[in-house]
Amino acid sequence: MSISFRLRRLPGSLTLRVFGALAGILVVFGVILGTWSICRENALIRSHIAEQGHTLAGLLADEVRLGVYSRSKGLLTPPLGAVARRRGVLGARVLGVDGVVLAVSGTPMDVPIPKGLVTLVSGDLAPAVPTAGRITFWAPIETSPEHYATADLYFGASEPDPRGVVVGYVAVDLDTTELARRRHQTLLRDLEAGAVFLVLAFGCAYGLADRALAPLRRLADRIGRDHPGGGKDELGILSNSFDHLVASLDRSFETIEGFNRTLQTRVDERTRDLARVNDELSEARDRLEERVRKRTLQLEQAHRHVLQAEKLSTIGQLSASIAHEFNNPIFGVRNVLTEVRCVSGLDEGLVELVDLSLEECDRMGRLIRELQGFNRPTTRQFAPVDVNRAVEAVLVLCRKHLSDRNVRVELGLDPTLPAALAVEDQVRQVVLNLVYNARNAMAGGGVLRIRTAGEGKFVVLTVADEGSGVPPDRLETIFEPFYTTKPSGEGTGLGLTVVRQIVDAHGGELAVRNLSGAGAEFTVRLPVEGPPS
Amino acid sequence: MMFRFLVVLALLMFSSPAAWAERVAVVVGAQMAPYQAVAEAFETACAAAPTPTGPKAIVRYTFERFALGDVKRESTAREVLTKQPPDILFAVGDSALRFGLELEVAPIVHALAPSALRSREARVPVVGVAFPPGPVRGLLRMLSVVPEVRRVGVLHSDATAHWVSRARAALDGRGITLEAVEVVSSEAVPEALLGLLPRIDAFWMVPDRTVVTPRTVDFLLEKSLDRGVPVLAFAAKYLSRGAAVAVALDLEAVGRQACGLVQGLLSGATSVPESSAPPDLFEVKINPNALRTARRNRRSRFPETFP
Repeated sequence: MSISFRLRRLPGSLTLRVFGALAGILVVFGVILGTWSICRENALIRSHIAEQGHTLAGLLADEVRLGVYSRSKGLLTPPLGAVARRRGVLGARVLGVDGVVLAVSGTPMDVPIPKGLVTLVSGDLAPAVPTAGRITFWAPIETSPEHYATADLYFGASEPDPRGVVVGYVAVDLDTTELARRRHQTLLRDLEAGAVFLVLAFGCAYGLADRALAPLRRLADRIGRDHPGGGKDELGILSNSFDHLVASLDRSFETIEGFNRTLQTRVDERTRDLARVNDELSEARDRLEERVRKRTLQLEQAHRHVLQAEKLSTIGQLSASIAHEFNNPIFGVRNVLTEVRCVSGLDEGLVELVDLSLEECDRMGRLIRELQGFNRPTTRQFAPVDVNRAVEAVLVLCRKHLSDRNVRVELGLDPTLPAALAVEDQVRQVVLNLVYNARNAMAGGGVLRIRTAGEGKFVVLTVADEGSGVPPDRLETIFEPFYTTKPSGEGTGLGLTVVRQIVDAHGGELAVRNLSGAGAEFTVRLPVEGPPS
Repeated sequence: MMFRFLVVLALLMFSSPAAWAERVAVVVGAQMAPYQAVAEAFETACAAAPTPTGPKAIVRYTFERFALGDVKRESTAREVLTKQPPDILFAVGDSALRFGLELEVAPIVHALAPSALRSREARVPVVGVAFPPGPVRGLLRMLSVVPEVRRVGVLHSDATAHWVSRARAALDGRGITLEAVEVVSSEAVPEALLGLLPRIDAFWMVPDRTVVTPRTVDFLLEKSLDRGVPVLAFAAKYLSRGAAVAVALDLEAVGRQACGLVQGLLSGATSVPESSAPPDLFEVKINPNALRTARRNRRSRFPETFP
């Protein structure tokens, strides 16, 4: 640290100012304390003088009581002399109640008895009588009653009240020069003590200020090196440094504010992104839930259809079994009827009835065979199949069902229809399913139109109904499994699906369209040469 | 039938043991503890006392206490005792004795009454316990505890001159001189004492209302002690104020003795006993500090007296 720097850093003006403030406080405090002390000392001196005077007067009054009562000089003189010889006592007198001086000692002044003299309170100079250079303290001489009562002479527990009759007065003159001398002494003593106190206090105050401010000074020095050009004293330097600090803090706060804004913007963007992603996730979740719901419904439907299919399979098996059982008795009945027909001489009416019965037996036999054929597992053997014949076979089976629904069948079969290479029972299955589908579409009855035609290398089968048609939004999905408009339990929903599967397996085409009037038309195209290998 | 009734009644009245109750009015001159103690001791003694006329007589005492001290109490007592005079009036203290003598409604037994000697002219029998109990006897008992005393001083007035002459006679036989100074007023007491003290070894304080006054008592006690002269006092109350030795009255004995006097009256006694106090009516008490101080002061003043 250079000398100039040190000079500029003399025991700082702040230290001097602090010291000055402390010194001022000490001076004020010292003056107040000194004044109070002097006043208190003076009061004590006055109190002491008063107490001394009153005590002396009271003691003298007690001492001379009997002497005054007995008018005995021998009893008055000794106590008077003892009092007068005390330091500070100028003289003492004993007076009778009439004011006549009974005894004198020392050089008392002839001060008249104060009017209304009562027992003086010690410590109070006011009732005393001050004169030039002296204060006269008065006390009455009181005495007890003259005689004891007889009982009190022997047994009285307490003495009669001594404050009875005033038989005289005492006056004690105290020298006030003693008071003045003691006051002067007290004042000098207090002034000396005060001066010593102030000197010591100033020294302590300076040392205290210097030590207390030393860290501040060091701090100011340190800061002054970093930020020269500050104030003249430590406060100035600190103030300058503080200003720099405040400015730095302001810049820092601004920077922080900018960062904060940027961060907030990014946070907002991220928040929006997250919100968007969250929305997308929610939508995806919703879609997933929807798909799950649909799949669940489909699975439930499939389960129901499987159950129904099993039921129908069981029923089919059962019906095949029943049909087989019916076949034998019908065969037997037919034989009987044949035998009856061969009987000669039958009536024409009976012959007609027998012929009719034989036709019915044949019909039942065909029904049973068709029924057994439908329930017989497919052979999967591709062979040339006459589609017209398959239609007719199916219609035989369905005739009752169709008539029950008031469904009339219009056939338009091409007699020149070529045979298609296919699996015959599957072709029948296709026809059967389409016929049943058309029947179900016409709950109140109608016309079922079945056409067959050859178109190049394809055999075309058309089945049209007069029902309500297929809902436009279902035209694409009508061949999906388990699609049905029938109540649960009345169908499997697999009919058209089976048709699609069989047609696809044969390499054919299947189409559906709604008719302009009402109803729907199904078209099956089967390749004549069978499915492509 | 009537004759038999009369015979039975006569037998009951004259042949059977007599049974009656003696009404005793206990009049206390002031509400002071010594007076109350004497009254209670009297009542207790009478209640337990044997019958005055033999085992065939049953005497029961009923006590009625009156305390004087102010005009109202005195008038109340006067009214009651006048309407229903008691059989015996026991007066404790001078004022009670004076009260009883004014009423003259019943024989009087007194105690603690120093003025009793002046009541010889009463129209009712008056007996009592002498009080103070033999001042000369008391002096002799007190001198027994201060054997170094050969000269006794006393201040007295004309009223107590007779005690001084008796004391001188009693002390002469013991080789003790009595210095007596007569004072005519209490104002002369201080000078008289100052003149007496250098010539005596002990100061005998007699119950003289001219010598012992509220104005002079402290002077008597303090000055004597200061000059090394122990004070022989007539009452224990002065021990705490500087007396070295004092006689203390046995108040219970006084009560018992008064009861004996009542029984004597009931049996017909009317004389006023003088010096009737038995030897155990009082005791001597000492203030050891005052005695030590007096001796120390005397040793410092008259060292030749204590070789």
